[in-house]
Amino acid sequence: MRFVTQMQVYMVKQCAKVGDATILLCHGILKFFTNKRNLSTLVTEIYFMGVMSLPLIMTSAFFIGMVFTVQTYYVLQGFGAADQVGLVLAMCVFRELGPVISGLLFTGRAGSSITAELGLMKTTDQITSMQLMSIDPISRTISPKLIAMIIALPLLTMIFNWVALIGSAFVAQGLLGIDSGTYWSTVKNGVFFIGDVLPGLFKASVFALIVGLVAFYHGYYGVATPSAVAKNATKTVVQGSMLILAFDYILVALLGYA
Amino acid sequence: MLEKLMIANFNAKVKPKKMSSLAAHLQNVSFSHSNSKILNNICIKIPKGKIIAIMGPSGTGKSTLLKLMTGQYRPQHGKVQVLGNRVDLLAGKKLYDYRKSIGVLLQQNALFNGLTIFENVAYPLREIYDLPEEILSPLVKLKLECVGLRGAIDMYPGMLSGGMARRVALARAVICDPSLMFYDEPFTGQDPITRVMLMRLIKRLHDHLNMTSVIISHQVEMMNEIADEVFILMKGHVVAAGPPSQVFKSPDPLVRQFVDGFIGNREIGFHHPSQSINKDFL
Amino acid sequence: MKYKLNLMVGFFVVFAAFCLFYIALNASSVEPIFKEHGYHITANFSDITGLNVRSPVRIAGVKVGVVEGIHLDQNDFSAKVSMLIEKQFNQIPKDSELSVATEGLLGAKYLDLSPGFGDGYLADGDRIEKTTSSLSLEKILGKVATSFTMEK
Repeated sequence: MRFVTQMQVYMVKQCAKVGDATILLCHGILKFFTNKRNLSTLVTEIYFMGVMSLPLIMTSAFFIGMVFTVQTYYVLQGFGAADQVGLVLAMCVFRELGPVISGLLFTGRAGSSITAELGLMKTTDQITSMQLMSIDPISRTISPKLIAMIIALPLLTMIFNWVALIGSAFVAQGLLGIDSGTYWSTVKNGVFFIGDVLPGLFKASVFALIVGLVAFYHGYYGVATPSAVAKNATKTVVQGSMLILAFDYILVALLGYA
Repeated sequence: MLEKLMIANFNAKVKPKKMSSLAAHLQNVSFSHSNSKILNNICIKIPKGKIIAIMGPSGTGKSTLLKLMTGQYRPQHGKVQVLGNRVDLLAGKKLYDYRKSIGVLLQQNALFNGLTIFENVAYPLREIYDLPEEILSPLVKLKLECVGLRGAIDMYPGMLSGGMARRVALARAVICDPSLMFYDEPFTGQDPITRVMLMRLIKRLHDHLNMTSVIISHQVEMMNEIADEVFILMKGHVVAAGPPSQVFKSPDPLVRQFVDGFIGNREIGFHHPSQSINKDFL
Repeated sequence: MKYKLNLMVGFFVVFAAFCLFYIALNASSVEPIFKEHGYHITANFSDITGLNVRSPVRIAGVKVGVVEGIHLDQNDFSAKVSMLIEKQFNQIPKDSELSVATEGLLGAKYLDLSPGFGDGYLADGDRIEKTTSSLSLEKILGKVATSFTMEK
């Protein structure tokens, strides 16, 4: 009986946390337009989150494209469908791998740094001091970062898709000896822009929201001591990754494409 | 240039509405934090244009008092009136409007590490008032000149010594010409020379900027020198109030204990409340 | 500094846009937005090896529709292919001929519609009678081989 009560208390607390995080996120989106200086901050944030993530995203995409092609090639060869390898890769990357892997990498690259930065601002009283200077810390620190995330992640996903495709084409045509015309025509006929590519990008922007939710919650509401900041950054990566994978399934089910 | 500076008297619109001789008035304020009572029925009157020292041993709620007056905490009982605003009732945009007329120097300097000294000091001006660069720049340099750091404009907070960082934070706190200035332990962690320098700086800023200063400190000799009025807080109560010359000479044993650092045979709060000693050691 | 930053972000956005356009133009086709506005026709083939749902239907190389479904006709064990033709192509003669064709020598399969000269036009639910099935490379090679042996 006592255990049940404790469970109930725990559940209520967790729900309250989710509520806090969601309200913070809504404030973050709404308050973006309350300060016109946010636009120039936005550019800086996109630089740090998007441009600085490019090496990571592009290298991962290139190698994932190559490895995926080689592995599927051996399976497809058994069915005599080796020339469809480009189509298999394009479908997988555009629908799943692109948004999901970009999202996971983005959580590690940008999410953890946001949590650490906000946590540090809190430990050194910078957040309090902004409030005392009558500057809204949500509007000036969270909003531009959040909007930058929502813009940057779909852009990174587009780049991921393209680089993975180029990596795959490179291996397929250069090493596996698949004819260039066949490769591109199978991809072109099999993939639909509206049905396959755009939903992936939509998923990417939802993932950006999820990463933001977790990262901002742990940064802004987390305990502000040096060791806790490190733990919070870890929590952001772990919970962000789990939520991305869970929401990926939910979105696929909702968008109704299988 | 001077006319432009005068046009930039932007603070006029947020000056107190009611003209009263009191900058702040706390009436019967009680505040408790997770079952422990920190402030108990406190009444404090802070007159305008004076330097007020709030003193007391650590853990008696001095910082809490400051947080009540800046609107970070809300009292469970009583009224907090600062510059004609009921601070305990303010929220949202009104609270931010009120905070435009006060300045706070925090215990940690809370400088922004990624910005230069100039940008740090200019930050509140840029964010709150949309000033063009040619007005903003002399204003910032003027305040930095006041604290003697105009030469350090392009440095970053990480490159400064503790005393310099404190002065930069001071310049940032007064950049909007507040009519009421709070200092939370401005002398902690400073060497004696820097302390005296900071003290003179605070006094000079107070005189030149025509503000009311509230200093939280436990430096008896310094407060004796610059404060106009002293409040001594102990265990959530005001135990003595008045001009420093009177208060520091008062025969009240609690005051003597604090001022002289003399313990005698009085009980002091050394042990945190704990269980019977037998339980842990025997 | 600020200028350089803006430039880098600009490059980033342009690069991402390039990637999206590249994918849109070279690696995907725009889905039939005319899904609801087209008309359906069917045809029976004896062999449609290599043809898939969503393979294009073309007249002179221009895409006019897509393959919607492929089923086995239990009466004569032929493959029944249903197609969706875009509404704007409403003047295709009834006696047109469908054949399974290949892009390049080994490329993907598509349906080639060669218009006839008859009077009526194809409408919703019509069936095309004249069809040519897949030309599989193995069968051609087989035929060539037998013809050589016959000559001996």
